[in-house]
Amino acid sequence: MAVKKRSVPTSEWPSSADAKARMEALRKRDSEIGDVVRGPATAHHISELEKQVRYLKALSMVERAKNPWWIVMQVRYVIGAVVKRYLKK
Amino acid sequence: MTNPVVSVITPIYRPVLSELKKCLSSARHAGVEHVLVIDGADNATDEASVRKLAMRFGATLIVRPVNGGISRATNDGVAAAHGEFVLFLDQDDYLERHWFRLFEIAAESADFIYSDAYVVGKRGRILARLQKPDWSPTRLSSNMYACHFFAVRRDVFNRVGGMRPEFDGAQDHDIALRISRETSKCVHIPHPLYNWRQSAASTAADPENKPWAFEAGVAAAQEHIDALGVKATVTPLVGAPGCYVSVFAPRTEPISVAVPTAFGRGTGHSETFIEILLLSLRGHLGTVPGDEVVVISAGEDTTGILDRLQQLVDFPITHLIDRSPFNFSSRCNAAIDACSNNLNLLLNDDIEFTSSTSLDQLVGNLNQSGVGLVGALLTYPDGSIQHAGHRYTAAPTHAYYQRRNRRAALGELVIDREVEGVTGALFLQRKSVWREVGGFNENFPLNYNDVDYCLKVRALGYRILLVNSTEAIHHESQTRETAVSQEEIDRLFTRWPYSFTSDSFTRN
Repeated sequence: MAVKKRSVPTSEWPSSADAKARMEALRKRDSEIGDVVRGPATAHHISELEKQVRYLKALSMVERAKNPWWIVMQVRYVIGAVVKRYLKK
Repeated sequence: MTNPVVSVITPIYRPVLSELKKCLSSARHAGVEHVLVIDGADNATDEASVRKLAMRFGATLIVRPVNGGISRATNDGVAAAHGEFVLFLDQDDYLERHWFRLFEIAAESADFIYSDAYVVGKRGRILARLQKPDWSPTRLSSNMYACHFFAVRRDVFNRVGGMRPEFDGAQDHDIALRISRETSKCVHIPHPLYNWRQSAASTAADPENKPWAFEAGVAAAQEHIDALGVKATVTPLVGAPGCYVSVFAPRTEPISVAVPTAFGRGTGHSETFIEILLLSLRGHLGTVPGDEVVVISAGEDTTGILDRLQQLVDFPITHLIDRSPFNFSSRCNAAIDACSNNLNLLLNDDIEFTSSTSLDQLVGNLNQSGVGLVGALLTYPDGSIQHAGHRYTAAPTHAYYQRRNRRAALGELVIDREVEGVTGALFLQRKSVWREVGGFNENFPLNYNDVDYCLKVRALGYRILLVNSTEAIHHESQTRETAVSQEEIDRLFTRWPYSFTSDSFTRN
């Protein structure tokens, strides 16, 4: 599709009172959404599922820490990382 | 006697008895019924031993005289089940110790439940943790990210017609897609509830072990797309088994492109960015009557670049001059306001379209139900990733930043999928959504305006998609400073105090 060749129309912004009013309406809507987001209806709510997931994550950490092999592996990992760093220098 | 909460269905075919025993013992719990279905009594299935195990663990055993495939065996198991939910567990997989605790809570408000998983070796050693995204219907049509372990309310299972043998190999994908059309009460448990055992012949070890499964997957996804009334063809992605892309029909709706610019040029460039961008749009824009470009800048085009470009491109360019103090948000708002079409593509001037960029893919994805915003995969000129969706963990970041390959768990870098947010450097939206969310917040004059915008779009219930099937180059931050001020960070965290704890969609 060929467009008729022409120079680019240029205008100043905001070009009219209408445009200013539209921008004002936009700002108002933005602040309304801000109120909705901060409002009590959507205040941070940790669901029961999320609470249990957090609990089980903590529990699995404790369970792993009880395993002597896990501790050995962690110590090995830390020593390995330190040696690697030392060798790089 | 009250019905169990959940019936675990395990089709059995030539099992390893020790693995089956582990499977049975892991699922034993008050309120749980286990149904085993031997799919064809043949020599390799030790029926007597399985029967003994079933008795020991109080499981119901069904024996199918002839092997009929996994779908028929599963359907028979569900027919014998009494639970409110049916949960599908493979004979070599096993559940985590506290699975029922999380399952029970999720079951209160869901019709469809899936969880993260551990991929384990033959002896049960954890090889990987598979972290799945929250409910993502678009992603589901491209990849069965929920995998084979999931639970569904029994009446929903029956309503959608159960498993279909003609989709064997991708029967779980097929039913998940049909369930996605039936209900939106789909819950992801962000914790591993089961162990997916990797054996030499399983898809966990090598997805290419079962090529027929992916053919069935393409067929299931195509049927789903057709049922949604979307004009697209589902195609398998080369080099990403189990991942598909919907190739959308050419768009018919015109697009307005809004570009804020300072007529700047980057290091080593003889042309200005706006020249590179507008010339790269040839062949992409101007193909539909009504396509246009609105360029906004702080000053006049003293060198006449736009006039020159207008002679070279097939779409009309309009130039707006905004002499107010620099505020990127208000400049974007002004440009979008001046667009005459409902489809608005916001672009930074340092974007460059290539042959891998497709406006049809962006429009096709935006036209899906409930989608408010779509973005594309952006790369640096050297091919490394600049943007593959936002990631909202401790702070907003670009996911997979600077990665050079496209390998990621669950095909995250190749399939079109849900994300928390996309960059304002390139996104397509409808003007109606922009109005509904109140445009860009002018309190973010330089950074995080796109993050705030995406959070607003999501807060209103829209989905945001990263369209990996379209790519563009981003010569990022060569035109202005990228430093983020503490004030901007504080402002973002004050406005969205709970949005940066964990990302729901990019978790690996």
